[in-house]
Amino acid sequence: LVLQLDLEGIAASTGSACSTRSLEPSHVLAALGVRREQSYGSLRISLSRMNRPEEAERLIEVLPGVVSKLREMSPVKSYDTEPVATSETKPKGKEADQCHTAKE
Amino acid sequence: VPYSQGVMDHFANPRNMGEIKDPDGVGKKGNPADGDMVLIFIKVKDDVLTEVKFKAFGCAAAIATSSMVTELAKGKTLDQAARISRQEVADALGGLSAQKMQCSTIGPDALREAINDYLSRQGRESIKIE
Repeated sequence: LVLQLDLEGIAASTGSACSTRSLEPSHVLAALGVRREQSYGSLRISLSRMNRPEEAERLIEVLPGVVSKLREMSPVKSYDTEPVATSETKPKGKEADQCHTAKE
Repeated sequence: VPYSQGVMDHFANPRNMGEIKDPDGVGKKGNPADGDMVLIFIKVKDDVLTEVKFKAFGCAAAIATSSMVTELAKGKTLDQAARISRQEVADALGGLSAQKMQCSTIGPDALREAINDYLSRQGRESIKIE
């Protein structure tokens, strides 16, 4: 999602900068009860005093298209309520073997 | 993480993305709870892959390599397609960084599963690749 936005000239992130190096999805979203597969699709948008209102407008214009493109690609329906897998089934200590969105 | 042009191209414009309604074989690899999952659907005629489609959830490398593997597999025999390696896919994309090579495994693996799913539906022995 972040990379697709980047292609559109929008710089965003998946989570806080302090966890950039982590492959784990956000612990804040986990604490809120968001499922793992959903939190891999997290998006964090930060604004600074340098941003202009037009830039926010642009994001609102671009974001729905990008999300629907990725949803069309995805075999996972993140909006359904059936859990795909519980966190218990997740193998521990295998991070290096995995491929994640968080790093980009 | 810098990606090659090939990766960015296949990520921005994935080839053969979607589902086959009445597939001869389906392969699934990965788990969305771990951050990525790929589904590959195939149509087979006379042991040749006539149609290959994919759906993917995951990072850019997982999407791009899945897209590339469908391109490489089309028109190949089952045996040839099952032997497509992640290195071949990565090379065809213009290279992948060492840390992203892991992500290129999921596409070829899902394709092999789809081929073996087809073979098992036919009551034939699966193809094992070391």
